[in-house]
Amino acid sequence: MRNERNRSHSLFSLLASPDGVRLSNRILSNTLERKMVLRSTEIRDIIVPEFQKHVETRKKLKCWIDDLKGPIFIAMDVTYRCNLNCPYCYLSAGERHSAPLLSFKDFKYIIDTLVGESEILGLCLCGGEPTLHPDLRSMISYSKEYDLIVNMVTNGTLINEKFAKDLSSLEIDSVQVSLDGSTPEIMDRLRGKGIFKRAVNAIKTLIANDVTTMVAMTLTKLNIRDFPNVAKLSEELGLYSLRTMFFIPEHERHISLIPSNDEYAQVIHWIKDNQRHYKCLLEFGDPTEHIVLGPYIGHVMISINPEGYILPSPYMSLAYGNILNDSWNALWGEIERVWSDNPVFNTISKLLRNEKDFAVLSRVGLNRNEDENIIDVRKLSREECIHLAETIEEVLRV
Amino acid sequence: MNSQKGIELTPEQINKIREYVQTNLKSFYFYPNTNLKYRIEKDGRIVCFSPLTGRMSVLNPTMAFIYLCLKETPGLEFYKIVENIVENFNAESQRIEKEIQNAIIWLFVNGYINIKNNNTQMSFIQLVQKYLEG
Repeated sequence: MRNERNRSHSLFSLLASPDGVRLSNRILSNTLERKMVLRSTEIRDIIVPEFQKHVETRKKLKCWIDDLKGPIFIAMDVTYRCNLNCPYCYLSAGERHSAPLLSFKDFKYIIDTLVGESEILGLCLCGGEPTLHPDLRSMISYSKEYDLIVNMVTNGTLINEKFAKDLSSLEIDSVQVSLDGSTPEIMDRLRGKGIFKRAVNAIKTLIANDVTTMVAMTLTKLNIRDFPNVAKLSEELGLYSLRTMFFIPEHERHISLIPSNDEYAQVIHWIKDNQRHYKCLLEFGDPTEHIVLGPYIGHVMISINPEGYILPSPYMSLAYGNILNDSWNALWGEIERVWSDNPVFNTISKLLRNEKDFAVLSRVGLNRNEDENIIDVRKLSREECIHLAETIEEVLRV
Repeated sequence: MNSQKGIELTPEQINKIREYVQTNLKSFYFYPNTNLKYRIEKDGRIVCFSPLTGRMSVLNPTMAFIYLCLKETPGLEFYKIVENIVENFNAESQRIEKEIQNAIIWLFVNGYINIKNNNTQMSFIQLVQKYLEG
């Protein structure tokens, strides 16, 4: 049981079933007894029928998340620029110095539209590095005028005392800082010299200013054994939560960084064995779950890129419409069922084997570090969609 | 703000708390958790974030109706809530009383509503904490 005053509203939580339990985790917990690590994609045959039963029960109780007015939460990528150049970044943000910024005018239009027509409850300001955006404070302030829940994801390097004070006075609901190791030796090797110290200072400053702070750790072969130490550090720092998940290789050059299944198993078991001793909430996520269960869940969350494209999955450069150019009302009706109705998304939902397939999809230009070539599936004809779906099927079946 | 380490309860303690809530339910006054961020769907469901877990949650139209009744008139008693539901959903009072009792307990345990007893308003967590303090 946790303190109700300190609820955070996380992206991680959005695929939870309405009773608050992530279905795949529930299924996963049974398999853990047998010392196995399974992704949603690898237990499709179990998880899909289980989930369908779950949906039917919820529908009978009239508490399922279908036929909604709109998404509940949005992830807004305000820029893909970043001041760091992490080798495993799925956006290659550090190399995109001239990537577009979402203008404040467009931001206001998006918020006005989504609050006005769909009554969204909250948003996460993401990137790239959102603190590089000159209008970030105005964006938070504008969202708060609508009483939205506002979260932010940052590497923390630009957060000083004044910035933290500003975030606190703007009443931001939570800030997630990246922390990829418990020592400078581990983290700086991945993110650059001095970054560990700057991230930890940011965390301390945010907490000192009463901002609910959490960390996310990107697990790679180079730091995965350090997870228990990061958890201990998170506890000492007074963090709300520590989140991690299967590493997403967006390009085949990232494959060598992927931890082994045994290494993942150790982390998951460690969390299971130790959570009860921690105030800090320890969470392990599955980045493929929203894709596997997409046809049954619909969209409770959408990602929007700085150019207004709507991304049904944050890990692929496949868009479905553009909120700045298309009518939102028309878009929503289609987006809600895009994983089941559209052949491109449906093929990915059915065939994605695990998170490594995001790298495989780079062969057909669908990885996020090629956003310049983003494909707006909504603009494709039925024949073009089928052709793209066949191409995807070909690479995923290899 | 810091989070709070989980409170572990024995099955005996859980039973005692359950018994206390069930026995006294009809003498409590109920109040909404006013911090809840929610929206009302066209069919009367409420979509929100669970006050207890922070995860997305859906209240069915009856649960949503109870919550909204309390938003409109904080401090209702059990039988007044039953009366409102009977009137709104055209239901039979005796048949639904048990269901409403369960619904109210669920809303209380999950942090959507608070109780007031002996002039003290408290959430379920506060009730548990009070119980553990003896």
